[in-house]
Amino acid sequence: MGTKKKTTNDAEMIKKEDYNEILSRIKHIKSLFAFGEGILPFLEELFVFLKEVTPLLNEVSSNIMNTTGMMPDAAFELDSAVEETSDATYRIMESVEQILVLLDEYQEKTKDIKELENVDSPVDEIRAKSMAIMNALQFHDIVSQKLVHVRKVLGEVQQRMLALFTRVYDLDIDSDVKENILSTLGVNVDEFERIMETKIEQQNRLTDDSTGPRKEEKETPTPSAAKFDQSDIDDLFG
Amino acid sequence: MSSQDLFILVVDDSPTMRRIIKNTLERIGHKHSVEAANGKEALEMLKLHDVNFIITDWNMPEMNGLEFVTEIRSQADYQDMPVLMITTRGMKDDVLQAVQAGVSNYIVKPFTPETLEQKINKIL
Repeated sequence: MGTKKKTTNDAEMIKKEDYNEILSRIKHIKSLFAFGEGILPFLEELFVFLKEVTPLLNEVSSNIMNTTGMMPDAAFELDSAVEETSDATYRIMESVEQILVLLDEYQEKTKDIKELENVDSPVDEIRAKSMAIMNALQFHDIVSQKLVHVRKVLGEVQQRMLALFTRVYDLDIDSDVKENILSTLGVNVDEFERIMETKIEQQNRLTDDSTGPRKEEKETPTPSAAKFDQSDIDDLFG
Repeated sequence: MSSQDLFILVVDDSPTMRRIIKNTLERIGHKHSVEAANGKEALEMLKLHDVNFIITDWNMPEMNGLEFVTEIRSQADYQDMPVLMITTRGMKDDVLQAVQAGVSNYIVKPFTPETLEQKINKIL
């Protein structure tokens, strides 16, 4: 008897639980509908937006891909610019140093010649002008530091772009889907495979110290961009 | 110590800058100097020569100027060594960082021979 009553109670309980479950699901579905009603216009807008923006994205991605491929060339152009200015600066410096030595020798040789005592000598002026040329050559160091920084940034951007494409390329998905994703990113898969083959070589060239005229400098990050003039510095040091 | 008795260590990774600084030093009467291309090389030069004045750049490979100054200031032998920093870094925080590391004075490139002479005299 007792067992039968218990079984009936259990069945009622199960039914109750089932009803509750069904009610909860209905509520959930209802809320989904409500959510759907709210989100549908947004989804519609999103689809319209995607339709409009996809060709644009393709164009941009294609440019990104092309630009990524061109970055090593740009880095080498920068290296070449630094190297050429370095050579030119060296030659100018040598000439200026030779002029300064010649002036010193000339002054030494002519110091005892009485006839020249009352003649205005241009030696000091030439020396001053030569020193001015030498000081102006500091531009080379200033410019090359900036170019080295640009080259470093360029290398980092290229690495990140290639890493992004590589991640997609390495995805464990159907190759057609992968090609679709890559082509949506504007990546020509054949071209990308070619780039991947030469990537290691390019990276080696980018990081190879011997190709750059100047070793990468250890930079200390600057948290603030407040410019300080030499006069401010002089004030600081008293 | 007379300013003409200085034995100056010039630390800069740019050979052009080292030549400009050395030539300028010679023109303002400081004939004795040695060179190093970065902080690490400079530490070696300090062991080899009786240097009594240092002119250093900031941005250099291997060990930069800030690390170099911090390193020598941590050694008892070089705590009072005059150090003039000549660099392209001209932001306020750069200068403050350099001061904190222990530079004696600071010049932003490009510099003139007059500025260099003035700063050396001021430090001495």
